[in-house]
Amino acid sequence: MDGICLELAGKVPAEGSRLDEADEHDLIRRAQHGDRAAFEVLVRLYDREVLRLAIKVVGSPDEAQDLYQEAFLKVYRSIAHFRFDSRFSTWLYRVVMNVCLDHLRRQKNRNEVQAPESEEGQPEFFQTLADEKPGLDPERSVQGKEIRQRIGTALSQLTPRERMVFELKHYQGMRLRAIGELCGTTEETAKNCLFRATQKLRLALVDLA
Amino acid sequence: MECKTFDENLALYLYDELEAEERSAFEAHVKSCQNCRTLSEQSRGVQTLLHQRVTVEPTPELLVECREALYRALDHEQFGWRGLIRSWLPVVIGFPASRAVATATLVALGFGLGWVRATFPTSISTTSRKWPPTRRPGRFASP
Repeated sequence: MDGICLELAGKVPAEGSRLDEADEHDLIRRAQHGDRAAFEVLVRLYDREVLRLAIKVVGSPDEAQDLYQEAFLKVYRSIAHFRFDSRFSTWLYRVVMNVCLDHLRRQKNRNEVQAPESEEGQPEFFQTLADEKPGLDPERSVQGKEIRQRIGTALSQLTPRERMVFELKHYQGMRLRAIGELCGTTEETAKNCLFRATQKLRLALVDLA
Repeated sequence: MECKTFDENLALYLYDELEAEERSAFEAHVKSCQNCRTLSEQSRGVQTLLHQRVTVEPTPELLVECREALYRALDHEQFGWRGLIRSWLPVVIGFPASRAVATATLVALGFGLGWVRATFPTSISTTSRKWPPTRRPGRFASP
């Protein structure tokens, strides 16, 4: 019975919603035994969040798509090693974190300045939620764009780990303890990363505040 | 509370990571220290500013495209060489006779290589080196 049938049969909730733990464990075990349809159901349960996080990190849909694929392929190859000692979502997001961190490190090593997020040219992939109507107030629109560029530049000055911790804390609202667990480190390390990140951002953006 | 402690824990205060007692001590210090109050206001301002960053949501079209690309990659993974190894390796390892076959193959290969070298020795090079190498008279040469 493939994933689509499971959804129609009401066995699996529609994508984005969550299963109860027993059903999820069942899916994971089937995926561990090579059931591709079960793995695809797991993908559909979590991939929107994964893609959203990847977009936050890299800002480009093409790169986010690459990170999405890399993360899920890693999960597919290593799902047999999942021991049910943590939640599947925690394990999955840890893989995603490591993929994003590796990407940020590669960018830093190439000395690429991360391009500030831009809505131009990508309307078909991004729905921007900023309340902006350029046609009504051009000056405000230009100011807003400059601020966002400064923010993008300031964020690119953080180390990969500082950037990840800050993204998860400020934009996702996660607790530092959970962030530490997700990043494979301690809560204390996450606190130190947050401290350094907020210091750097304050120095870079205080004139705009 | 000292100003140094305030500065070190300001981020935790702003992001609501302090315990109730620590939070009260923070707020008491903010009321009494002008410098720390300014620092706190600046940090809050930056925190608010950072929310102006555009929040982008992946569209359904992007999600569909990502999934389709992933499924193609999974097909390649499943039916490519990696997938074949992954599916056959447990069978090969778990099957006792196959281990014996693998061992016998390696032994046969070793004997085969030895036989080839013995039957068809390496040809002698006529350019620079002589074979067998000429013995130079040295300290231990016979008189």
